[in-house]
Amino acid sequence: MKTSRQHFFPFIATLCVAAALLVPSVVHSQSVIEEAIQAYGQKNVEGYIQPVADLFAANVNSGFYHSAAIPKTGFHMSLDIIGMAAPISDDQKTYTATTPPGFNPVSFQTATIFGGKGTTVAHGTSAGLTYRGSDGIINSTIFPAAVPQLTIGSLYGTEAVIRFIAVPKMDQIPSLSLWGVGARHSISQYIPGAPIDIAAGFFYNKFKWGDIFDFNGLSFGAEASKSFSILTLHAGINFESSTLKISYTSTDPVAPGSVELNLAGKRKVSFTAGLGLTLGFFQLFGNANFGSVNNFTAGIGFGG
Amino acid sequence: MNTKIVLFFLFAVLATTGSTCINDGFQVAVNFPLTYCGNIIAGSNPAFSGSQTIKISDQVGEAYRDNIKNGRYYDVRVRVNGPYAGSVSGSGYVNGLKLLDFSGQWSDFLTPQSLLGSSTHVTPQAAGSAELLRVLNSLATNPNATITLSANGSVSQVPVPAGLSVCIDIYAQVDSEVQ
Repeated sequence: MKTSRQHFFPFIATLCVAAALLVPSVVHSQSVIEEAIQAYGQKNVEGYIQPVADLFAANVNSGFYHSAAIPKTGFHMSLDIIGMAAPISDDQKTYTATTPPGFNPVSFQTATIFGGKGTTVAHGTSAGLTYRGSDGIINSTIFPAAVPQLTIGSLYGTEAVIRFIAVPKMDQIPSLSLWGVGARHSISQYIPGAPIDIAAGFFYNKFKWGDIFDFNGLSFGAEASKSFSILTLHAGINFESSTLKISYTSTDPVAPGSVELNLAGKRKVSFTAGLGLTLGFFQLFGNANFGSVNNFTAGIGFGG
Repeated sequence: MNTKIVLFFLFAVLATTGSTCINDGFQVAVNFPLTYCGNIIAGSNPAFSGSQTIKISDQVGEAYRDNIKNGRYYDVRVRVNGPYAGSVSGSGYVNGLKLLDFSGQWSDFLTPQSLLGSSTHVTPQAAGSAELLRVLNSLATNPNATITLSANGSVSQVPVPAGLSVCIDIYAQVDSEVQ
């Protein structure tokens, strides 16, 4: 599709300003999350924050494509604004926390970062001794994310995919950066007369937020699509591996000192189904990703 | 499509997907110690006693000192420092009310003896326990609340060598409301 460049770049500039203005609300939230996490020793912070690792990984490891059609040659470029949302299930709102050494019971169910009120547990035999887990922080039914994504191609049926967000440090609010890079290659170009488009790709994402959160995600998979006029149906399978590294200094006197955790994202395989609409200069698209963690993406794209 | 409509849609989507709903007034459970250590004076007197007044909020991490709502404690431990061959016995107090009794060989207390578990060397007392809970919960209305920890007792053998001390560690927790 021929790009209407005289309209393209003013739109893009406006969208980037909008994204930059809205991200600080998310970044400010991270400061209170930092305070909550630093009160935890290593044993319990893992369970408290694991759902974030699972849901964030599911979101970031999705939304790379909405069509498997990649031209063999010819320049094309498109900018997508992609929103992701992972539903927060009930089993992600509580976890089994450990009580201090010697306490009876040795564990109890309490709120994760997505839960409600923390649970207070009384010692089974010693009157007066009680222990409590912290409250949940985030009150939401979904865990959202949003990224801009630039796709550039094609060379021998291959296109590059790039994501990038950067927010500098502002007063007490730490800096944030997310960048992702990947490539997709047309498989159907080797199958003359193929009734559907088939492609394969890999993607790497890195996210850093303050001094506490550091995420790395790698995914690769295959996808197929079929267009019917302005409607494109797509589906795919994706294999994922991710790690959310958390580093902080615990203020818990029972377990003080440096804490460094590597939380693996729960989802390893996902199946995608979605559709897209091509409306002249821009596209609307959405898909659902199913696995041990489910999530959804939707977005709007500009260009061809 | 009208440009303004497209931009309004995009702002709405970005606002929705970029915002995070934070629970108003969520509380972080913050663990902190309250510790009293009293030196045993070297010499012919086997008895010891002493006290220390502590401003409780000073023991809580600085980020959590404001808006303390509730308090509790989950362990009390008695320990000693220094080499001694005899035995020790005594009591620990909170604001003058007995929190616990302790008794045993000095060497037993080189490893902290806890109210948790099955130590036969420490025995909790209700009056001090109730006072400890009262003063921890008073932080919600009196951020400057103090607590006086004290201990008295005796050791079995004289002369008492130099360098001995008895410590009582209270493992407390407060709920700090984060805004």
